[in-house]
Amino acid sequence: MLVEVRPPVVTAVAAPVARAPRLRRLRRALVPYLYLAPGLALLAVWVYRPLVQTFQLSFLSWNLLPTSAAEPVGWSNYVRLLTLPEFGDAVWRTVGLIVGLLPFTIIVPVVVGLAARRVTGRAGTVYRALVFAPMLIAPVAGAAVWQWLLDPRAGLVNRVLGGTTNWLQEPGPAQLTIVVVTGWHVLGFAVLVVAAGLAGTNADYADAAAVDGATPGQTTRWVTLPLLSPTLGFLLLMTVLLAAQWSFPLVDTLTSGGPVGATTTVYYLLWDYAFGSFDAGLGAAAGVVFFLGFGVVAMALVWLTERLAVHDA
Amino acid sequence: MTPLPLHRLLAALVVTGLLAACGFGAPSAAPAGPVGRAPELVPGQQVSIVFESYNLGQAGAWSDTFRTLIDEFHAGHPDIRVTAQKPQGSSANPAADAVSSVQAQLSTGSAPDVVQLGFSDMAFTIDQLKAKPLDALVGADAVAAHFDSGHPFAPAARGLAQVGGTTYGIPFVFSTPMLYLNTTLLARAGLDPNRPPSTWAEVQRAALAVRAATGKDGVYVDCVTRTAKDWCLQSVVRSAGGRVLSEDGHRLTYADPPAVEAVSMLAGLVSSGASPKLTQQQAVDAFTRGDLAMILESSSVQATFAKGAAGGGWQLGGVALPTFDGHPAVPTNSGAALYVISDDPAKQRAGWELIRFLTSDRAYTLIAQKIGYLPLRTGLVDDPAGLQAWAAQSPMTRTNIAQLDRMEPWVSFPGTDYLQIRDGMMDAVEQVVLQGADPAATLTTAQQRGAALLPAGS
Amino acid sequence: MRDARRLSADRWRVAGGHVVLGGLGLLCAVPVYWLFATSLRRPEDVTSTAPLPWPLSLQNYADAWAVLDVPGLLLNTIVMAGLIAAGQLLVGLLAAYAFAAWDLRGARVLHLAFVATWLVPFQVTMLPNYVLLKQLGLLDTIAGVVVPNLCSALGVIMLRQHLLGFPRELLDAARMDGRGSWRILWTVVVPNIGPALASLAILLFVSAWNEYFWPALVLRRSAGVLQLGLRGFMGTEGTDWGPMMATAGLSCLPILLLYLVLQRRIVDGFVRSGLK
Repeated sequence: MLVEVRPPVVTAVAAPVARAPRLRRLRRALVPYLYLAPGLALLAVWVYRPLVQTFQLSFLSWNLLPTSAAEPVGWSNYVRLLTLPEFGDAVWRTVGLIVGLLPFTIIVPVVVGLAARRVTGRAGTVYRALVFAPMLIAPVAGAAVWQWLLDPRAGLVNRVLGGTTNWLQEPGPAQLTIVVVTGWHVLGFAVLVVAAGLAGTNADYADAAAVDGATPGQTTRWVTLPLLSPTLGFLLLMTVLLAAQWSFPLVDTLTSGGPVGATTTVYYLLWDYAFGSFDAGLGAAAGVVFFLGFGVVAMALVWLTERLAVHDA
Repeated sequence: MTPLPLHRLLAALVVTGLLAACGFGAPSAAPAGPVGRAPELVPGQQVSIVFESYNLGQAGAWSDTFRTLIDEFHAGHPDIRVTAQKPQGSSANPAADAVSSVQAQLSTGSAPDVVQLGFSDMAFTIDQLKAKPLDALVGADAVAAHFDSGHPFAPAARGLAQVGGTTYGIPFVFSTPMLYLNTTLLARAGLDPNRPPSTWAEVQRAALAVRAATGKDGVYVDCVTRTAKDWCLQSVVRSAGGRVLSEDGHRLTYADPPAVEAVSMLAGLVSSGASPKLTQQQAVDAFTRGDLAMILESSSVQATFAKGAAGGGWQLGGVALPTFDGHPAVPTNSGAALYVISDDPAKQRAGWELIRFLTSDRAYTLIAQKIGYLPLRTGLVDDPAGLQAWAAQSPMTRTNIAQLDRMEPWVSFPGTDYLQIRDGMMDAVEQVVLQGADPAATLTTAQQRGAALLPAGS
Repeated sequence: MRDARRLSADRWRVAGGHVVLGGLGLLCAVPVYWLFATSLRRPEDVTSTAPLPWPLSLQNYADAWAVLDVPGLLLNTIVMAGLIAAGQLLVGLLAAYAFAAWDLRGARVLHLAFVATWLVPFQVTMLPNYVLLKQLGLLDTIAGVVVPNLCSALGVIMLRQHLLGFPRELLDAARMDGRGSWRILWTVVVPNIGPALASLAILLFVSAWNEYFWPALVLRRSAGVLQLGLRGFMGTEGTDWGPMMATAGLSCLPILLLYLVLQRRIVDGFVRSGLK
């Protein structure tokens, strides 16, 4: 056990020169910022500077070529963007993706985490390794395998399920495919986070509940899950903010946003504008809109989880 | 002693710094002058140029052939150094990155000197990427002489990269739509191998027969998805007597009755069960495996099909683009041309030398033999010292060449938003053909939206 | 009576746990297994759906090896991932130390600045960063891939979380001893958070190993890193599945082996980091 060490009382030190202590204090106050400096500098140069440039670009109509002129067009890029039907569609599809992904990042990991408490030893390690394996496969390589597995005639999925659904060419199945494959990919990470969260909860509460006569089911529902709520809140935040990014390599390789745009999420739309078309202004406007949109959603979620989550002292 | 509000100071510094350091430096006017003649290279003048081609992105026959060709070029032109590169970008298919790669490099001021770009992007290549008119660079006589040197270019091929009578690029690789057949499957369905389908109605009957007799899929027309681009859709529409873009280039016409009829025919293939609903990738894989009886594809994929046939134990055949009753077939070409986009006269001249070599008899012989693309200098297939033996081995080559006479160029949409116009059209076609939407209504809606993206003055 | 019922109920729960975990594990692992199985088939069998690849053949790997410079790609990938992981770890450690060891003014805003990078889509930052790289002359180099990725928001967040739970008393005691903050960091803090650092390092390494879009934009003349080698087998003339699966397998194998060896570390480190 650690022993409380009281900091010794500081006696006043006579100031021989008026300037030195102030300089020293200034230097001391700067030190933490010096530690932060590398990280902040990197972010400023490689993340925030492009964001500012994008913001400036969103007011121009330009195709990024030095041979053509960039004309300032005010807010017209934003107006055009918000009235494009594909914009609204992309937003709704992203919402659908997030909702569809939640079972994979919250429900299944919690079930797995609770079940894993019972299974220990060798078997537990093996299972954990298997569940984590998809995370180690690069998204592009994973997409290549899934492309193979989902072939309507020769692919394993249809052979096993016995149908002829074309999982990549029909809109509904294609959306389901993207949700499932993305979920498959991130499941391992979510399981790990929940396992960490469970291990971090104090077992005393569960034991006390058991002593009081609660069944394991009741303990889980009323004690364990609430204690897990900060972790679940964190996972919720990550899913909402990053679901579209996680699915991006898969959409790019498997469906290219199709069929007929059924899997075009907001980030794929952004990619299309940035690299597929030559309308840099529109792409920039889209980038700014999504950044602000996600920012608002994130703040709302953080406020919500701080209100609702149960913290252990 | 109030401590310095350090965090505020820092924040202010950071914000000011960002705003000051940022800025794309967008030009406010586009300087454009007439392109002058590029002087001949003086002997001993060292020039190095960069050549970008999407065919270098794929490992295998293409890269090897290109390397051989460039080595031969170096041997013949010791003063010119060529660096060959593939487009940068992350698409699975390097061809999809070709234009954006040039654009990205132009925006940083270091574009390649010679590029290979598809005909679908030609308008953009000339207007925005500023491909130099070869007639001005080296003189119209020199260009004509090059077309005529050795075995001359097929007449239909010469004008493919011409706009308003000026030649901007030399057509390089080239294919026409062919209906490839799995003759083994067709024979099993009781069809006469000597009378392959020649009209769309016959194609549908044959496909349904294959379906009924063997359970395998009948036909797939690879012209209806965004990834397929619009080159073969244009063939089908032209063969029905319609166009996707008006002849003056100012109006979209893919919702006009002839085009609607063509797209409805394709939709009918799907709804009758003659054609499965597949992505381009799945269809090519299925045909290669032997699970699909007929596929309308670019002749550039022929080598893959031949390998699949050899491995899968079925016979590959091929016929020309099917016709609509009462109309002749009008195939459009897919493929790419070589352009010079450098501004430096010495590099322009060196680039021209490279282009001349890559489109010479020697280069076409090698490309045809190693990769299977059609030589644009069609006389080679009759030359015993050239490709006569090679052409004798694959009867489909003759079919391909015969189609050349009836060929029309792949029309590219004008303006900066041409990709969105094209994608809008292909999405609508996909919706009609593969998702069963109403042809006239869907195409009309898409055409209206696309018309808003045409450049002003259209 | 109650205890006996409890006992058998417990046994059911254990069995249930095995079923759930086992089933899930199987479902997750099937595509991974399929990747390797396909790559080990003979080239002509590549399209078969037989569960076991027999006869085994390394021809696909040989084909991939012949076309791509596998050792070179492997080396490039290891260097790139290693540099990125090391850099992210160091930068994250310094930043987290700043948050944890001092009561910073504006700590919330600064923390937000790190977290907010999750909101910036990489599709937006790619082109401007590409232009800057060109100006710095770092295009087509490994350094160009590494430098923009040296700060990881996840790393900062996780390390900060971990260090917030670090006993302040140790830091204060060391400060009383007159040691500077730098020395405290390396002599007091780092030795005590070894597991967390190790597990984070592995996670960052894996994440950097699987990077695709940024290297694809920056590296060109060479194929660069393993993930880009996959592209060489896809193209306008059809996909070569055999060598492609072999390349995908090669690009996953080192990571899988690393994971199997260090699995304990990762889980323990994660668990002990107390991410709540």
